Amino acid sequence: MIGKEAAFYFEGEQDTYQTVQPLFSGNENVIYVESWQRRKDGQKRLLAWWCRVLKDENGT
Amino acid sequence: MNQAFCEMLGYTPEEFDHQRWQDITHPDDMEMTQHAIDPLLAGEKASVRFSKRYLHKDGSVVWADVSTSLRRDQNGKPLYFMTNVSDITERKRAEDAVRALSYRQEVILSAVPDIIMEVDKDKVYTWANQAGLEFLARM
Repeated sequence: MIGKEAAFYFEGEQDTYQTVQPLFSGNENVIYVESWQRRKDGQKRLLAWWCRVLKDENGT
Repeated sequence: MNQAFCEMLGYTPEEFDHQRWQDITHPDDMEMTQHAIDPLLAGEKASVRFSKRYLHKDGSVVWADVSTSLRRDQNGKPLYFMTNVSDITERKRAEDAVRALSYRQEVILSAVPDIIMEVDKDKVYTWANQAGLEFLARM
């Protein structure tokens, strides 16, 4: 699982990447997002994420 | 040995006259040190480098980075070791502190029931706490 892209576990079409894009472009530090994900056994789970940017000591 | 080595281990040059390397080496590093210098004595290597613990005169541990080579006479008979020793005690302590802190954080994060995951700039999972790993294992 480690090493796989997050979208690998997405269930159906979703705009999660667009929602969290401000984190990657540096415009936001924290974003709340809900995302449907599919388990290996086929069950769907709605996960609520608080996504936070981790920065080094230089703020990068 | 020079003054710096004497000061590193708390001895006077005169006191060192009666010391063997075994006398100032941490007991747990005795075998490792012998193993490290065996290739020099056997003529298999020209020099070796390794980390080891010395014992200070006051009993405290001194970590050192050791580079040594064996000097021989024209007949190949061993004469003495030419050794360069750097005190790396503070570096070792810092490494131990970082390791302990990392372990402590790992234990704390493992105890958190919520899923905590890390993705890189390409949105690839690079780390997960125990709850995250268990959740992903079911996916």
